[in-house]
Amino acid sequence: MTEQETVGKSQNEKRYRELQNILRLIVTNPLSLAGLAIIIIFLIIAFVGPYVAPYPLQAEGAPDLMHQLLPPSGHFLFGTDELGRDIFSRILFGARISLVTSASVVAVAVLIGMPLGAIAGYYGERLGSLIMRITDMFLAFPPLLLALAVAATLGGSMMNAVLALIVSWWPWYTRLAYSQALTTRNLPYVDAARAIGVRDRIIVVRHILPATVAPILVQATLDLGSAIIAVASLSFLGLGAQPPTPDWGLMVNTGKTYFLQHWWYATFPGLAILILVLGFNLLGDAVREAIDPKLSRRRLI
Amino acid sequence: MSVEDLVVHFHTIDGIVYALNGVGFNIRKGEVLGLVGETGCGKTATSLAVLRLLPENAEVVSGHITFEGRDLLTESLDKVAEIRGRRISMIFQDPASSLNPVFKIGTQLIDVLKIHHPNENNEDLLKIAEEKLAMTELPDPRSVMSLYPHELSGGMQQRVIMAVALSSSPSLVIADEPTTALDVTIQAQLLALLKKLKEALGLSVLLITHNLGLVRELCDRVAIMYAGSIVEVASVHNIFQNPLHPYTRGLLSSVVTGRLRGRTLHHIPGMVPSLINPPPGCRFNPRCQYAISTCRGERPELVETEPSHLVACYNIPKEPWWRI
Amino acid sequence: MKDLGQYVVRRVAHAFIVIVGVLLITFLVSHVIPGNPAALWVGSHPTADEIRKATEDLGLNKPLYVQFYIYITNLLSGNLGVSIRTHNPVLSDIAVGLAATLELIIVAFLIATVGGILVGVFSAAHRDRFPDHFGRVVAILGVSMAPFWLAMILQLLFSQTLNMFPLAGRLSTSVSIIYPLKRITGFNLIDSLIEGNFVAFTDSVWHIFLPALALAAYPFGLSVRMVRTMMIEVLQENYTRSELAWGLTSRIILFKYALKNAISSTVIALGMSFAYSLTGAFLDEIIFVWPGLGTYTALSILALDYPAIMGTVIAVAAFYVVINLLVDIFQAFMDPRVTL
Repeated sequence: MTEQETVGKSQNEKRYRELQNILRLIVTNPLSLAGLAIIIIFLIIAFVGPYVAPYPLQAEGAPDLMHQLLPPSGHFLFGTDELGRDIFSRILFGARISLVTSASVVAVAVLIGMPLGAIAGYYGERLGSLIMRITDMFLAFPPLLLALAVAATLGGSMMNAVLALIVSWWPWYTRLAYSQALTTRNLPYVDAARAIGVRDRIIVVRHILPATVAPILVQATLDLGSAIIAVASLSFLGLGAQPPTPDWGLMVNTGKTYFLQHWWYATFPGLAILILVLGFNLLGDAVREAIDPKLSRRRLI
Repeated sequence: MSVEDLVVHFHTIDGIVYALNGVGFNIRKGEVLGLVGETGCGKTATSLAVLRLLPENAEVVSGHITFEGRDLLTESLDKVAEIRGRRISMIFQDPASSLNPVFKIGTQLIDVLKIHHPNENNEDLLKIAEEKLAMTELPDPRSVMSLYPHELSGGMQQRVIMAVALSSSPSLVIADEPTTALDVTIQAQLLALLKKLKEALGLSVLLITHNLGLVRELCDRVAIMYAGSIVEVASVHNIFQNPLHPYTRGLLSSVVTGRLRGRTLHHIPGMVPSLINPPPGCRFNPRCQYAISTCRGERPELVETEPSHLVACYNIPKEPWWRI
Repeated sequence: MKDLGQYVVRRVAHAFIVIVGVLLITFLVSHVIPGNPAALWVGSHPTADEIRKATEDLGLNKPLYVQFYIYITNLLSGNLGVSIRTHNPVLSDIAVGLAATLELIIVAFLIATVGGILVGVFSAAHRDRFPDHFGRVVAILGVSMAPFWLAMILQLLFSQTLNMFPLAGRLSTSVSIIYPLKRITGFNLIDSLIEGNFVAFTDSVWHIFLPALALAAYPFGLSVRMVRTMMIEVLQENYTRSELAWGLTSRIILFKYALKNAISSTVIALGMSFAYSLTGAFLDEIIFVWPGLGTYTALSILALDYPAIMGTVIAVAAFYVVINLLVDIFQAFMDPRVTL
């Protein structure tokens, strides 16, 4: 192995050990375990739900006008909606939608933002400033607002909502990757690599980019919860999922007309959102506290 | 104040650190005691234990710290809090980080004064504050009061800290490496100041340092510490003239003095032991050229081998120390 | 203080550039992305005439930079377009709803900040013991709830079932007739106090309570987390150790010294959560039929009233930039090191 490969390899080993440390801290904390459990349960629901749901056809939209707006019972665990469809089944189907859409938003935003930030941080000066200026302008928008504008322009659909959210979310990851890249760029082994004559492009890919992965990964986990709420919010406004999709946000939206008299309609989908987001937040919180070196020193008061 | 048999453990992720292993010494009224040792030997831990400022993962296993008739380790935390700043004060190592950066000097000083002089009104407190700052030879105390810590130089910051610490005329001041973070020239100035204040206020001082030159300048007596216990206590004169403990002798030989001119500097072989897995008995024995089998058994106690000269060693070397 | 002045100038210049960037982005979204921008601006079923007029007005057949120029000049003269739904200039529509929304956001923010600081400090002081766990769970719950859902649950529980608070609106119809409120600032709470109209004041408080509470949940959770983290960090610092050694009491250290250090960073978190609150307020208003920008936007979306939507977006974004500017200046004021 070349010298700088060796150095890079030991950097990666160090990161591997840090990762193990984080995993250990997560597993020993009851709150984060609960979060992890929740996420796993919902993942299972996302995969298995549609096969287990008592009224799958209704979940996909088939109405049943004989059983409109019934309260929760043995037949309909969470009650029925105004078209007589079983809310429980619809929620089971909706898990897949929520997870897939939020994961897509975060994943694509990361895929766009991370390399951009790494490049901006490494190349600095003109290219870096340009990228960061553009990023700052996007960041000047309150998060959902830009997504709202884009979704309204493109028209209401789940795909457009996801696209709109990606457009407004990538800058966050760019900024994160940028600051990490700046720090990494100044580390001695990067200087050494450059001195040996390694081409910039390779340095970015081999050294800068991996360094940005860790903080972004943490942030992304935390963001999944927000992404779910963001997608639900857009659906709630009518800019996301359209009927008859069993999207949780859409259900709460349709539910708001009925729910004062029929409490179960909006409560359960919203509860599903709450629990899933709670899971991500619990886990993310624990990870964040595990990583933050400043929180582990002495305590006096 | 006297410290007896202080045993302190720290609970860390890597295991229990047996930091203090039966520390004992005393400070008499009006004297300056130097606590000397390498980084990590437990000097700071000892000093923090006095005012109960040890971090949460510290466990005081046993020992007594007697001050003005009370055992500070068993008193309620409230009583100890009353003593802090009032009867016993502490000065720390890095002045820049020891002052709260978002408050003006005046605010911090007056808040402390308010606690210790509850009966004064605000105008009087202002005057007293200025007096205290003037006492530590700060130029223009009034404008210093309206400055923020980062607007002062390191030396001035430490003077401010001294002023605050001495503002209620405590009887004991613990100074933990007060000049280590500062330039050598500033060190000299602050030393002189400390000497003057000690005379003027009749302070007893526990001076923690690893700088032997400082010790020589300022201290009346010296206690040498190694890996969690005191190994030798003597007057400054005797410590430098006639060090008895092998560690002290090694320490002195690794410092450049006139006596050693022309010879190679000695260094103590080996490294300071890990305090998670300390060696049995006398903790210095793995590196000691005079070690005998007893040294690996019970830890040696401090014994008055010569008048007012205590050593904790089973096998005190006979030859003069500069012959090593 | 001179440092502060220079910092302010720098920040204002920066904000200016940012606003231009924001306008550029909104321009791209509304003029470049859509396949047929004219259709969007005119609304459903446009006649050929309407399309032609729109194309003229917006300069849609001219090169992009000219379009942008027209766009900017329009905005600067206060022309945000005409709402398809209400037929009013969007700017005047916004002006009407702005005060209501602001009032809601400010009250929510006050609740969130005060509550957040108290719980955060409390949590940090009892770290890893029961009060801390309790505080953290509450904070996480606040952050995990979809704001519109919380609004609905609160409405269901406290309005519908327990009848403790009104269901919707800012003021009871009866009160607005018998004790009419003159519109001075647009903030009911302030206006009623200015006039000494205490009936209207109590009524306004009664109406604003639930919506503000629902909106406060997220920023509350965020500030508890932030305050707690920063306090823990500050409590580990050397200067806290000095303060203890000097004999300062726990209370003074916690609520004066440590808190001020923590607050300057908490302000960043509050700024961020303000962003979420802006959009959260939109969702909140819909549930409580609060006559503000949120309801306006929701109705605009339903009616496909594109000019209204984009106009609101621009106005809110610009507003947000200004708020961030003020936050930064406040932070510099609180922590003098920032200006260095």
